[in-house]
This record gives sequence, structure tokens and C-alpha cells, in this order.
Amino acid sequence: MPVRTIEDVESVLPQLNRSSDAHASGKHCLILARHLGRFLKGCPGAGAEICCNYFVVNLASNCHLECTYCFLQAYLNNPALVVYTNVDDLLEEVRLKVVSAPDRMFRIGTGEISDSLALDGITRYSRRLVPSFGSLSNVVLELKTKSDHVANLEGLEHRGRTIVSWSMNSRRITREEELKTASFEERLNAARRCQGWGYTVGFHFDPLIHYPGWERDYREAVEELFHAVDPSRIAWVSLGSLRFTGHLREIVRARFPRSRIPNGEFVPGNHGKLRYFRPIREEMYARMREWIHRAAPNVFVYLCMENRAAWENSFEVVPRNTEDLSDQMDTLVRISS
Amino acid sequence: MIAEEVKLEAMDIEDERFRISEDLDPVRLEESLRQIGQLHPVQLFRGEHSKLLVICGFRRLRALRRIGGLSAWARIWSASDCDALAALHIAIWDNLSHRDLNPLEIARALASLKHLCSVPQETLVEKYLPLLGLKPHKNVLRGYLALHSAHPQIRQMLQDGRVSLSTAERLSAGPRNFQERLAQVFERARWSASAQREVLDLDEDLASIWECGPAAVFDQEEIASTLKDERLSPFEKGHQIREILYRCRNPRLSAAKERFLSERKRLELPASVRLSPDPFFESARVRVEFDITSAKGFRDAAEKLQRAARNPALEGLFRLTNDG
Repeated sequence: MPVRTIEDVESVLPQLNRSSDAHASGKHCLILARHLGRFLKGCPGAGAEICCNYFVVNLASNCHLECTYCFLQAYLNNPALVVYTNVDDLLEEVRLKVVSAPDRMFRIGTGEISDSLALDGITRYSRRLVPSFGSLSNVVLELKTKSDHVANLEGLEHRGRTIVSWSMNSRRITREEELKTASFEERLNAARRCQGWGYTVGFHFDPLIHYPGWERDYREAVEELFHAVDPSRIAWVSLGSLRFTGHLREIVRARFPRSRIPNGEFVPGNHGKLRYFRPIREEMYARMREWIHRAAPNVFVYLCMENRAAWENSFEVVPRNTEDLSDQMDTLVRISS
Repeated sequence: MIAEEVKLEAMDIEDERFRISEDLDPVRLEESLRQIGQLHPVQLFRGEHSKLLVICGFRRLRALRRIGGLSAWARIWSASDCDALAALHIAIWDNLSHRDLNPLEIARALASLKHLCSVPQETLVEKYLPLLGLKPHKNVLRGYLALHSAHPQIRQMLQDGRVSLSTAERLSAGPRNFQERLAQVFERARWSASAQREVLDLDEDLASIWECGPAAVFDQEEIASTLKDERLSPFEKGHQIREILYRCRNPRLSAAKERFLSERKRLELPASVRLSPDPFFESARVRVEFDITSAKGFRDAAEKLQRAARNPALEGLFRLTNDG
């Protein structure tokens, strides 16, 4: 594998941009770099009307998996895959933050602009993060993935402070739109292995995709999921619908002309993002919540990046506000520890 | 520079490989030649062909031929001091020296550089796009190269200002039957540049949803009858066709809008009281506004609102669908 030293991660841009598909070329270029600035940030979802108050840390930027709808295609200026090497700085920043506020609970994820575990076979970062978070009392780490690279998690001192989560979808969407990812079964097998190692797991049906036949496909996905894993060891299940920008839609059309995703009935929502027309979202959320609670009545289900109207029209019990939802989720992770 | 008199019959005026100009028959050129004759020599190329090729001067030579001229002043370049690329440079610079090229001429110059002279894409982007006053980006090049193969009707509509440059580029990138069909549509219906973009976006989406070609989207009966309707102006046709496409693309949203309008009507409020939903119904919020200029007007509006509040139709205003 050719290796070279560069001064600036942006210096690869001219070469990548010459390619007919810079996004695809970027996935073949792995840059190891130091992260400058702060690692810990509030999740951008904090702009939603009712939000879970989540934190994110980015140990990598971009992802070598190939989901057709991935927002990173339009979000990142640099299509190269960047892995940050100063993990100790990240751990120290997190430690100082959580120690400074011992009365509050922190939920922190690494899967905002990358997949938490897709590269773990190479980086082995989980072997440093999990024990480190395990040594703190008022924080949980959520590793969110579409891969089945969980081998490094075996035997770690997680002390219930790590939740391993899978982004899930219907089999059809997994197969046709989440390219190069682990299959539906592989994700469930990986979740089952993690439960076997004592981890609590989570599932995120996000983005839900509306297409002819979605009801049957998603109902089957929910039933299979709860048949495969122990519902009592599930921290939460989130639901979210596809969010798109106009630019992303153009990219998807150009890069994946067979994708049916841009065909949804979208309307501009907050921050200029396109979303399914609200009744479509509400119907999907309501049915999903119903199927999930039929299979596992006690599992905590919440909506990601949604407004109050969508909550009220699809859930029986609605959090009063962001603080209420955040408190409920903090309680879940306190109990699960 | 030595110019010589060359007989028109010694030139192959029909071979337009170095041609840049889009309009070959400007009205006043003939008159100018009649009045004061040829002021500047044309540039010719002596290659392997039996006749001389024209580098610059297509318009002058055609005008001379039309007015019965038999010869023209010309400078002749030989293959030893001028290859195809150099000849094309002469043609480009000769034009750029006294005017800006229009988009079709730029497209022709770029296509000739690419196909006739085999100039690589990178050089076209980095050297020739800035030379022609464009941003050095591969997408710009792609658009202009597509434009070069535009259907004649689309070329004409671009020149007439009936379609925007970006519309012409998008149409040109499509298959021939699409270009022909859309040219027919654009002949009869008119849109602003932004509405043209919107119509083409809707067409692209619907073609993907209906799994048909983009030309077939316009074959719907409703669109066909709108295009044929003699009572409508081209802009009215454009507006109606855009509405039809939007309704097909956004059936639920369109139904919600219609439903809201119909429920609002049932409330029988005066025109001075306006009810409007949240943009795209993202929340259940409905905005109520009224304009009054007197206390009496205020009382009247309030009374009408009170009556509307007792109207069972009011509940329907807050429902997005007929289901609930």
C-alpha cells in the first residue's frame, strides 16, 4: 500500500477532485491525522424541538461504507477518510468534562460523521475507549455502526458504560441502499454476540425510508430483530426519517442512478433540509412504535430530530420537552449500569 | 502578412471544422461588402485536401458568394507552419479579438478542441475555459460539450432567449427523442429561468418514479390538452403544466393544500381575514390575519371569526388528511 506524509489533510483534495467520483476515490485514501480543537460537541440534533441532549466525539471523519443516502457526501469538504490519532486527548477531554459535572449524566457517541466500528479491526480504538469510559461513573459511550466488527469488544472492562448500537433498516433497504455494510443478519448476529459479552445494545431505525411495501418490510425487520436479541438488554430504539438536502439529492442521483430514495415526497423542513411530508413520517413512526411495542412492550422508543407535532401524532406518551426526554434516557442508562 | 486574392472555387466553404460563429448570415455584412468591399483577409489552410479549408471568414465568404463575388483576399497557412490546433487557435483568437463568443460558439470551440485537436480534458478545463471567460471546472466543460450536440430547435430557443443556458445544457444532455419532445413543449409553453429548472427537476423525478423516459412524462393527457388549449397564453400554459407536474410529484402535499383551501372556504370568512397553514404543514399551526381600518371593521371581523369558531368545518382545517 503506498504511503506518504502530508502537511495538510486538504492537500489531497486536488488529486481526489480530478477523479470522476471524488466520493468513491476518497474512500480509498486513508489519512492519519491529529484532531485539532475540541473533540466533544453537542449533537446537531439539539436544534430539534424535542431532542435527547446527546454529545458526539469524532475520532474519524467519513466512512468507507457506501450508503446511497449518506449525508456525508454533501456535508464533508474532504472526501478522504480521516482517522484521528490523538485518542488520549479525546479521553482526557471527556474525563475532564464528566468529572466537572458529577451530578449529570452524559451520553456520548462516536458515530456522527463516521461509523463507530467499521474501521475498528484496523484502529482497535474500541479497546481503549471502552475501558476508559468504564472507569467513569456518569457517562455512557454509544458505539453506533452498520458493521459487524465487534471482535475487539470481547473481554473488555466495559462496566455497563458502553452501549453498542446498530443502525437498522428493512432488509430491502439494507441490501439495495446500504452498500458494503453488514447484512441484516450479520448485524443481528453481532448484536447477539455483544449481549453475550454483557453489553447493552441499542437500535436506530434511522433513516426510515418510505417506499411501496415499506409496511411489510419494516414489520418483518422489527419482528426478526426482537426474535434475535434479548429485549431486556436493549437500551433504546430510535426512529428517524430520511433527511436530505437538495445538493445531496443531486449527488445521490448522479452516483446511484438506480436508487429510489430521491423519489420520496419531500418538503423543506427546518434548516432547509428536505424531509418526508409530515403525515408520511407520522404514519411510519406510529406503525413502527406499534410493532416494536407489540414485540417488546418495555423497550424505550424515541424519535430523533423531530418536531412536537410528529411526536404527538405518532406516540401515545410525548416527552414534555428536551429536558424530559433527556432525563428519561439518562435514567435508562443509570439503571442499566 | 501577405494576403493574396484566392478564387472562391478553390475553397471548401462547406467544410466547417474550424468554424466558431453561430450566425453565419448576419444581415449587414452583405451590404458592407457591397459598399466598401472586403476589409480584412480571410484565413485559409492548405492541407492534404484538394481545396483550401477555411479557418476564419465563413461569414464573409458566404456573403461574398451571395452577392456574386468570385474571389476573396486571403492569407494561406500551410501544414508546415500550422497544424489543426494552431488553426483553431487562430479562429478562436480572431473572434475573441473583437467580440465575446455566445454559449453555442463557446460550445463549438470546446468541442472542436476536444474532438478535432484531441486536447485532453484537463487542458480544456484549466487552459481553455478561462480563456473563454469561464470557471475552470469539469462540470462547466461537461455542460458546454453537451450543449454542442443540442437539437437545432433548442439551439434556436437558446439564441432567442426562450430557454436559459442551464436549461439548454440539461436538455442537450438528454437523448434525442427527449430533446425533440421538450423542444415542442418549450415552443408552446413559457417559463422563467427558475421555473424552467423546476419543471425539469419535476420531470426528472417523475420519470424516475414512473420508471419511464423523461420525454414520456409530458405525454400525459392533461399536459397534452393544456398545450393544445388556444385560449391560454404560453405563460399560462407553463403555469398550468408546472402545477400538473407538481401535483403528480407531491400528491399528498397537494391534496393537503386543496383540503385546507376547501375547509377554509367552508368557514365563510370575508376576504379581509386570511388563514394560512405552516409552510408545508410542518406543524399544525395556522396563521390568522385580518386587516381593519375602523372599530366597526374590527367588530365585523371578530364576529365572522366567532361564527367560524362555531362552524364544524373548523376541525377539518387542522386535519392534514381525510383519515384523521
